[in-house]
Amino acid sequence: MSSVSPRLDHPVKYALFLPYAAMIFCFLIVPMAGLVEVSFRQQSSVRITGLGFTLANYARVGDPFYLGILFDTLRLSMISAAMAAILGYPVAYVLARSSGRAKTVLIVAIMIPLMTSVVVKVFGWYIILEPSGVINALSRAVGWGRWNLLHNEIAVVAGLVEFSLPFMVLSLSASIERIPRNVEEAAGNLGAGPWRVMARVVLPMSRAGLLSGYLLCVGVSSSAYVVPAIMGGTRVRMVGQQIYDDVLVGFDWPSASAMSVVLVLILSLIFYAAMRIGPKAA
Amino acid sequence: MGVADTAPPVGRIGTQDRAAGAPSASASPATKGAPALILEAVVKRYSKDVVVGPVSLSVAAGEFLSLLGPSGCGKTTLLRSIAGFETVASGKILVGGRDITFLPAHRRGVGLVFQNYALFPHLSIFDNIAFGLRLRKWRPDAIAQKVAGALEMVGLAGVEKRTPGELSGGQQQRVAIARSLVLEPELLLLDEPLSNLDFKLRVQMRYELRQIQRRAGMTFVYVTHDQTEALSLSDRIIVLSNGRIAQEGTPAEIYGAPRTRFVADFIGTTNMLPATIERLNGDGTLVARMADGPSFTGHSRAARRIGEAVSVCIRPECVALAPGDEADSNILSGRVVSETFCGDRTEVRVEIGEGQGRQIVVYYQTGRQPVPPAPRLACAIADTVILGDE
Amino acid sequence: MTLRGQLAIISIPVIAFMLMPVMVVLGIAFGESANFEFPPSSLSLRWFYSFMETAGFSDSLFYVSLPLGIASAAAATAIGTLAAIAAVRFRFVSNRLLELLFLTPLIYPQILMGVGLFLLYARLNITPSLLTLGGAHVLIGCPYVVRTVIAGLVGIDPKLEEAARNLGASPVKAFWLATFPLLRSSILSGAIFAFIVSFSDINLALFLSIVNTVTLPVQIMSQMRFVSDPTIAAAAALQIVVISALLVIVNRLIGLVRP
Repeated sequence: MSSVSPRLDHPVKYALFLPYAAMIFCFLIVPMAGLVEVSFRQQSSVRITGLGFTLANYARVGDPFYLGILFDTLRLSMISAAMAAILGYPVAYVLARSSGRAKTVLIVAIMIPLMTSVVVKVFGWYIILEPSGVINALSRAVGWGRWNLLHNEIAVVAGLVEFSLPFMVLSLSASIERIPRNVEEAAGNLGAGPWRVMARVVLPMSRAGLLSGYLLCVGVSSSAYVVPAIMGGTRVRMVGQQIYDDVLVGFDWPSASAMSVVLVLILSLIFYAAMRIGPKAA
Repeated sequence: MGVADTAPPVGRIGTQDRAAGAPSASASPATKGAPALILEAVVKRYSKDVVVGPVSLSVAAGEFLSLLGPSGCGKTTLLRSIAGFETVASGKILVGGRDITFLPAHRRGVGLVFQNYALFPHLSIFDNIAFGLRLRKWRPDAIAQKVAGALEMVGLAGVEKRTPGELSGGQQQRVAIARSLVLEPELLLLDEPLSNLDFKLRVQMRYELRQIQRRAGMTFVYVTHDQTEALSLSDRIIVLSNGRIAQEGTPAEIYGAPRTRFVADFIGTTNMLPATIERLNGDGTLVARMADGPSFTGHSRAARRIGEAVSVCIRPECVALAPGDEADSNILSGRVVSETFCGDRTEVRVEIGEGQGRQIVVYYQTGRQPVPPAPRLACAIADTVILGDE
Repeated sequence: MTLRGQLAIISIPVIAFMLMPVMVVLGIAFGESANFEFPPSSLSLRWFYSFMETAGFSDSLFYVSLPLGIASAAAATAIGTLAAIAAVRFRFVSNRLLELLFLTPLIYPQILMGVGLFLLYARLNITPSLLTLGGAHVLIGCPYVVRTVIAGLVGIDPKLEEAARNLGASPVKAFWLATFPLLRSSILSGAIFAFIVSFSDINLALFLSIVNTVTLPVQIMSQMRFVSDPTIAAAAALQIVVISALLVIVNRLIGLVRP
């Protein structure tokens, strides 16, 4: 007979969440509104924030160049999210079904790459893959010569997979944990072998978590900047790089703003879908 | 009102307890002056649904009152309303004559012992018990004295430095009681305090709870869904059903003379047989007859008409079995269907009448004579209560 | 073999893949060789000494990243804790929606937050400083604080506060005496997460840091192409070591298993 104590209703509640709400307003909503505004301005050499009103910036998103970047961004994100799902599923299962010390070690092994700066990890990949890097040193030692392993799509995908794996594993294992263990035991007791239990019980029951984890990773990857910028160089181009270059190199703020707004819309759609499908994925 | 000073030695309490705890002692505590608690038509609503009430009751100072009912009957809500954690929609709550209906919880001066004890895990036992005294700005030496006294009262002297996590469930229970007792509240509310303990300890704590209450001379209002607890602990029991009082009385009254089918069914095990009133005797008893079956002579608290459909309720221990096949007034004829050995007793299921499938349960105490091995048995009913639809 | 056992074997190379860049950075930073040799044939701390002597690196650690992280974590902790208390203990039109709002900075793409703030500061003629970057870091730290504190609060029995009130404490005092002491480790963990988020941020700093507010990740990023010796690896390794140590502390405090 435990009765949950009801939530209080007192004006002090507004004072409690006001500081955070103000932060969100000032550092998230206002800048976003600024981007939306600039995205409707004409480019101008006089004023960097543009002049007048135009839809040309959005029309330009339809250009083959920009459309190609958007398409590549989604394509690479989807490929790497799929790979993260395939690679991450076994880890997520083991994490969900471990306990005690093993679980702690596993979670630390997943949290370290999750919390470490993406720059540090990309630097790690850089010294692994670069022409005088770790792999090439091995390759030369065996007599296979020197390879340019950076600045191609495979390098970018490898970086994105590694970047999104922790998100995938944590979101998947949360949904696998919700499958009662005795459901698996029951399937085993009825004569299903381990792999059949996986295919017929665990996988179907974690479908929602898999899908929402996938969408989460697509979202996280499609706004990536550092991974494609370093691993892809000038050969691979994703939305993040284009926005960065338009702002800091080309000073074309209206274009960058329009692209940003488009990216926000796409991501909102993806995250909304992820939230509707999976229970509390992020 | 030094709590510890007035505590009589344990040996004497035992005898006192036996005298005062006897089921017939209904009037003894009620003579001590102003009631400790009065509820006047208290109603509690959640949005628009009435969950409790209107409930009116009065608890005498020094009384041990149980609020008994199944889960969802509103007993915990009622208790939390008295403690100030729920606001009542209407009605009045008076403690020691003081209207506390609109006082915030921390100014009510009403103690509450929680089901899960709610001891502060980050504080030592000493600090837990001293919590309320410190809020009242007592001097440290007075606090130390008071805490020691309270721990002695609950039989836990010497655990001051430990933390709640280091104590067993029963010990935590006692600390929770001491934490409230030390403030000498006019009224101590207990919310199913024994339900988290295992069976043996529960029985042991039942006895100790009663001891502590006597020793402290305090008024206890005790919420439980366990009828055995209520019957064995209380001076008086109030049975709640759907937020209202179904019956109130001494444990013996509640058990022996249930007023409604709900109370009869909820307290103990009862055989309920459908019957029709056949005759009203002049001496207050009446006769009810089962369809095509025997008749019963029994008591009814409410007035009955001839021809009224009623339930005849028979306690399993009020039936004696003997070989034979006659059905007569207050004797049922039947056949043993099963016997279940339960240690102190054997539960016998007897099918009565011919092929109607109606069964009654009869308790047979272990150590008395065995169940007669005859093919048909005569079941003699010693006592019945006749209940209507009220 | 059990399903878990078989999948555990499959998981080993995956986890190795996840940890590979981190391990390579550590190996090279702690190695003796100047030629990015991995695995290192001998260990030394020479690249860390070199890191300390390189003003660009050590300044960005000690004068930018550390103070920035500590200050923004402190602010995020205060702001996030208050918000978490509001979300758990008080009734709003929709508490679910409120919690969702509180987590938006977590999913809102940081690169867009960076662009947006860069444009905003430029239009308002605000000179970029540690303060303007710090404000953004406070915001991305807040959701971590909110999440850990909410998890902590939900795990504390509300009956404890009721008990304190029953013993005579006013609602505020009851929270302070009964709940807050149990919440301290959650708050500290939230603070650590907020620090890590600031300490490892690159997407905001790329847009918002200027010449004298170059954070360590930005420094690593800009030096990466001109890498000449493993000093930069030592810089990256410092990141990993600090963050790993902090994660171990959080694990001690509240356990990472239910973050």
